[in-house]
Amino acid sequence: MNLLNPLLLIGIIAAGIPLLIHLWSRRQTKTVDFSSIKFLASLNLKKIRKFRLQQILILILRMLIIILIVLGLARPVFKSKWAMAAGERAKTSVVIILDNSYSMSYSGLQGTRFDIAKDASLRILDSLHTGDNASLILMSDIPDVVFKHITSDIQQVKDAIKNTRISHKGTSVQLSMLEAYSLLKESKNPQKRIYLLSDLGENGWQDWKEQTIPDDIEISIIRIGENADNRAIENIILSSEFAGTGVPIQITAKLKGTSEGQVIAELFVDGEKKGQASVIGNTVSFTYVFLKPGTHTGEVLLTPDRLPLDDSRYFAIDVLGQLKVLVTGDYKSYVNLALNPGGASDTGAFIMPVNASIEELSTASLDKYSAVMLVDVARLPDNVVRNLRDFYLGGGNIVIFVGKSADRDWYNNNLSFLPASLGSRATFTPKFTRISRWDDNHPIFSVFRDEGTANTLRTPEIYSAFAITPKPGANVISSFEKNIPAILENGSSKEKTGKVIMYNFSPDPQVSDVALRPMFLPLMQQTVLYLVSKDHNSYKNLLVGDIYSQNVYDKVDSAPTITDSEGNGILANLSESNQAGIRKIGFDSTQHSGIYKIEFKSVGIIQRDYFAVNLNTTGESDLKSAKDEDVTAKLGKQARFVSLNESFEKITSETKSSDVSSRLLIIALILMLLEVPLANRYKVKEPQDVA
Amino acid sequence: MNEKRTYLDPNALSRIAGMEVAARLVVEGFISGMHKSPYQGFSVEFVEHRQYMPGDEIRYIDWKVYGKSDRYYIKKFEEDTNLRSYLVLDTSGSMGFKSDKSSNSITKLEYGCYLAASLTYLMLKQRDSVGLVTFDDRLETYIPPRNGPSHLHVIISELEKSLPGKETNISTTFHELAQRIVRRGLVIIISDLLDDPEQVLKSLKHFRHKKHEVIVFHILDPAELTFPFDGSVMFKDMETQRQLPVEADLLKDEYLRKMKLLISEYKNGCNASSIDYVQMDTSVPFDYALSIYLSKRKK
Repeated sequence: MNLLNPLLLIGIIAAGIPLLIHLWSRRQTKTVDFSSIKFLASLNLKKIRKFRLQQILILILRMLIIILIVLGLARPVFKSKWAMAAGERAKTSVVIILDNSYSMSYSGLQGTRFDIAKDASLRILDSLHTGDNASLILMSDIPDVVFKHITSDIQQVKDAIKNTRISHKGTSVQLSMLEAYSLLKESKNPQKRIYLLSDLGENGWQDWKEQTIPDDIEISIIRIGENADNRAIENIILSSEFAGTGVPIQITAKLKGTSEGQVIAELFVDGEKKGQASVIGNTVSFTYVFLKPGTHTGEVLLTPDRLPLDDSRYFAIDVLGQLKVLVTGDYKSYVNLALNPGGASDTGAFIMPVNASIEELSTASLDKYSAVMLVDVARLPDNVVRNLRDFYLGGGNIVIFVGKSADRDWYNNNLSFLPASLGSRATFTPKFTRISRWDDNHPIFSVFRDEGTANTLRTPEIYSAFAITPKPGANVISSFEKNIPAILENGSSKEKTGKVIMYNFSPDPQVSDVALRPMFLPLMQQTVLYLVSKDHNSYKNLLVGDIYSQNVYDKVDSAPTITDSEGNGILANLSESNQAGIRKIGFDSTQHSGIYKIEFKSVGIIQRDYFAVNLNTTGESDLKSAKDEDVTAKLGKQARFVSLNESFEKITSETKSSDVSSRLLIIALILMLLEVPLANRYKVKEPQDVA
Repeated sequence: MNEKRTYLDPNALSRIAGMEVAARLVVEGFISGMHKSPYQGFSVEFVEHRQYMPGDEIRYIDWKVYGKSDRYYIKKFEEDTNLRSYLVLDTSGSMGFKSDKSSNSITKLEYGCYLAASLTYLMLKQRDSVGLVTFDDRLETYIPPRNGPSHLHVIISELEKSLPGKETNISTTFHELAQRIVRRGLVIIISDLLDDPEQVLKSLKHFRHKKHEVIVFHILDPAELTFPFDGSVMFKDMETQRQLPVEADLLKDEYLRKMKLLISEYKNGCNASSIDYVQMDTSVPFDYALSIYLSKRKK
C-alpha cells in the first residue's frame, strides 16, 4: 500500500480523541452515597452491560470513522488483484516515450514506423480518463521532453504528437527513461505508466547502465518494426583535408549494410550533379577537381531505400588557391621540384615555389608567401633574421632544413623561434640512419597512412644529423633510429604566431638521399598544406548534435547568422575577443543533416562559409532490433510488451493499483450515519415519579 | 394558623434546635389546625352529658339526671388510656440518606426522629404509654413504654442520640421484637424498609399475630422515589460502603418500576394483614403522619 498524502497520516492521532473523551468521562463519574444499592443491584443489569458494550462499540465506531477519514484523505493506493475490486481505477499518469530517432523514418507497407508510432500514441491518449494526465518525451540520443511537467491537458499532448517530426539523431533509451521517471516522480496519481513506442534498435541500448526502476511505474513496450536491411553512407573520406584549385581530389563514400537491387551513387558538388557510379562493395569513389578557391559543398546520394535519410551524406571542403612558397638555400632546387614537379614553366601549379637569395630576404615582402623555406643555410644577416621574426610573429610559417652547412652556434643564438637547440653533429655508423618513427595522426603524415606509402617514409638514408634538444613545448613529430629527432615543430605560445617546422636533415646528397626518394614530394607538399591549414577553419564536417566552432581573427561586426539545412536562419554565439584578439563563433543547433551556411560581416564585407552536418550512422542505421527478453531484462519486471492491436483502454485500465480513498470516505460517512442513532439510543428521559 | 402550619414542614423543623420543642410545635400546630380537641374519649374524669342513644352502654347512664329530668343521659368521661405504643425506629445506614445536600434538608432518619418525637409528645399528651425501639441489623435501644411527662425527655434524648448505623436486618429484628413485647399495644414502625419485602411482611405479621396494632411509616427520600440521576453514577452503599457503577439514565425506568412494585407490595401485604401502611417521603409534613396515627387511635 502506498500513501499519496502520507503527511496527512499525522491526523490519525485524532483517532485518540474519542478514546480520551471516553476515559475522561469515566473519570468524571459522579459518586453518590445511596441508601442501599441492594435494591439497585437487584435490578436487571444486563441492560447496563449491553449499554457498556454499546458504548465501547460507539467508541470503536468513532475512532474508526476518524481513522477512515484520515486514511481516505491520505489517499491510500493498494497494489493487489483484490484491490481493484475494492477501489476504482486509480488516476493514471502516462508518459509517452515516442522514438523519433531517424531509424523510425523507415518506411514499411503501412507507412513509416514513426507515423505508426504517432498513431498509436494518439490512441493511448484517447484511452485516458478524466483526472489522468500525460507527458511526451521524444526519444533520441538526447531526449526532448516536450512537456516539462506532466499535464492534464491531454489535447495539448495530442497536438504536440501530431506536430512532432522525425529527428536526425540516434537513440538512447536510458536517458529518455530517466526523464520519464523524473516526470512521473512529480505525479501524485497512484498509477504511473510509461508507454515506450520504438523500433528498439540495438544501438539505443548500447549505453544502458543497470538502474533501479521505481516500483510504482508500469512500462508498456510497443515495438514498431522488426529487423530490416538497410544501406547507408557511413562516411565520406576526402583524400585531402584541403583541396587545391586544379588538384584532383578523391571523394570516397564508405557504405554499410545491404539493400536490394542495384544501387547508384551520385556526386553533387555545389548543388550540381558531378558524377555517378554503380555501387559495388562498400565503397564508392569519385575524383573531382575544384577549379575555384573557396569553400565548396557536396553530397553523395545513393538510390533511396526504405530509410532514405541515411542514403545521402554531405561534405564541405576548403579549396585553396595557388600557394606561393619562398625557398632559399643551397639545395633549393630539390625542394622546388618537390613542391612543383612541373617545374618553373608550370605557372598554374597549386604550390608555386619562388626562389630568392639570402640577401633578398631582407627586403622581401614575406607576407604574401604561405611559407618561407630555408634549405640548409649557414647563417643569415641580422636584417633577414629581423624580417623573418616579424614574419613569424605575424603568423608566417617557416620551414628550416639543417644540414652540414648550418652554423650550430649561430642558429642557437640568433633564431629564437627554432623548436630545438642544435648540438654536435653526428655521423651515423656504419653508414646511415633512417626515419623509424612518426606521428601517424599528424596531418603531414596523413598521406602515409596506408602501409605502402608508409614504407616509403623509411627508405631515405640519413648520413649525418645534429644532436638535438627540443625546446619546451616543441613537438617531435618524427625520429630517426636511436630516437634522434628528425622532424620537429614549435609549440605556438600565441595563437597568432606562425608555425616553424625543422627538418634535421637536408636534400644535400652528403647529408641524405631524401631528395631522391618518392616520399620527398608528398612530404614537402603536405608540409606546405599543413602550414596553410592552420589558418583555415579545418573542421567543416560535423555530426548531428556536434557544436560548430570557428575562430575569427578579423573584426566581426555582429553575431553571425547560420542558415541550417532546412533554411532556418539562426543567430550563432559570438564570444568576446581574447587577449590574442580572437573571437569564437559557436553554434550548437546542428539538429538536421545537410549543409549549413554561416554569414557574418567583417569590416563591412559579408564573409560566407559552409559546413556539413551528417547523421551519426553508427548503430542507428543498422536496423537491428533488441530482443524482447533483453529489453525486459533491462527494464525490469514492470515492463511488458504490448501489441499494437491490443486495446489501450484495457491496458491503461489494467492497473494493479486502486485508489480506495473515495471508498474509505463513503464507509466513514455510512459509519457516521450509523453512529448517530446508536449514540442517541439511550438518550436521557425526563424524570418521572413513581407516584 | 398558617404560620403555625409551617412548623409542620420537616425542613422548617430541622432549623429548630431542640427536638422536644420541635415535637411540641408539630403537635400543637396540628391540634390547633384541627379545631377539634383530641382529648375526647372515655375517661374517669367527667366531661359532659349526652343524650342516650340506642347502643350506648347502660352503665354510663347518669341515673341522677334521669331522676331529675326523667330522661336518659349518659356521662362522657375523659379517657384514661392504657394504650402501650412502641415507636420502632430504623437507624440503619440507609436511613442516613438525603438527596438534597443543603444544610436545611433532613435525612430519612432525622425525619423519622421528628416523627417519632411528635408522636411521642402527642401520645404522652393522651396519657398513652410510649416506648422506643431503635434497630439496624439488631435491636440497638429498647425503652419500655412509660406514661408521664418526664418520659418524653427520655425518649427525645434517645432520639437525639440516634445516628445512622449499620446494615438493616428488618425481619430478624422485628421477629425478635415481637417476641420481646409481651403486652399487646400499638407498634409504630418508622423505616425505609429497604430489605426483602417478603421477609419484612412476614415479620410484620408476627406483630399482628401477637395482637399488636401496627402502623408502618415507610419513609423514603424523594430521590428514592424519582431517581433524579443521569449519566454515569457510582452509587455507594451507605450501609456496606459497596460501590456500584451504574448508567443512571438506563436504569431509571427499571428502578422506578421496581420501586413502585416494592411500595405496592408493602401496601398490599400490610393491607392483607390489617396493618396501616403509610408511605411518606421526607418532604411530607408531619401532620399527615399524626392524623394517620389519630385515626388509628380512634379505632
